[in-house]
Amino acid sequence: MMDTQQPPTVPIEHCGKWIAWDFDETKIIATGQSYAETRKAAQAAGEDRPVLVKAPQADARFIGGHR
Amino acid sequence: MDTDEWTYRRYAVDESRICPSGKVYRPEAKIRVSGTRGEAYLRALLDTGADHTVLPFSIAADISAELFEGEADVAKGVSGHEITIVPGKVELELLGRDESCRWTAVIGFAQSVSSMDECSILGHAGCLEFFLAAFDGLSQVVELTPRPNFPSLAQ
Repeated sequence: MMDTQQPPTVPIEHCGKWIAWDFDETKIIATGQSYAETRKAAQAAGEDRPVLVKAPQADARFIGGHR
Repeated sequence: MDTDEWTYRRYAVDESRICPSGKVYRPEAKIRVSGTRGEAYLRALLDTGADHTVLPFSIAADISAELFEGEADVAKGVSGHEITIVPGKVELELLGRDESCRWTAVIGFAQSVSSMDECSILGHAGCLEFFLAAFDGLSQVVELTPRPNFPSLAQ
């Protein structure tokens, strides 16, 4: 099993937000402040299986667990 | 089941002394998490420093995870900040390009105070305990190889 295609860099304007990628993770479909809002927006845009991820904050370094 | 590989995900962030490139690189894997009435697809951080696998509570609600509400626990990050985690039984599936592997686990669903604090973490209990993990910082690839204690060899 391989997933080694280099995906695009997530732009800084999405920092701290939930991001919904298309299922193949080639493009960002939607962003939002909450998981539910972002998933709903991605599905409304036609992506049945959005892949969601919470992007790191631009000005705070994540070092594990709760920040 | 073969070794699985995932490329680190790049995020642009503010440049600073500690991060002069203005980029952070995260070893994340694509997963599917299923509850009793739904499923979600996520990119989750492979975190060898995390004792447990933890997902945001909002996902538990979305997939109708089987929760053990009376058995909530407390988790702390490096800051010492406490959050409540509610155990929930789910099916997890690591998704590669052509193959996948899945298993059932009890993981934690974190009740974060703010959505800013939400994150999806694949820690030891519920995930990494079943794999040999190799993090290659040079090529920015993480490899996971199932070990004999892997609970299911589906697909």
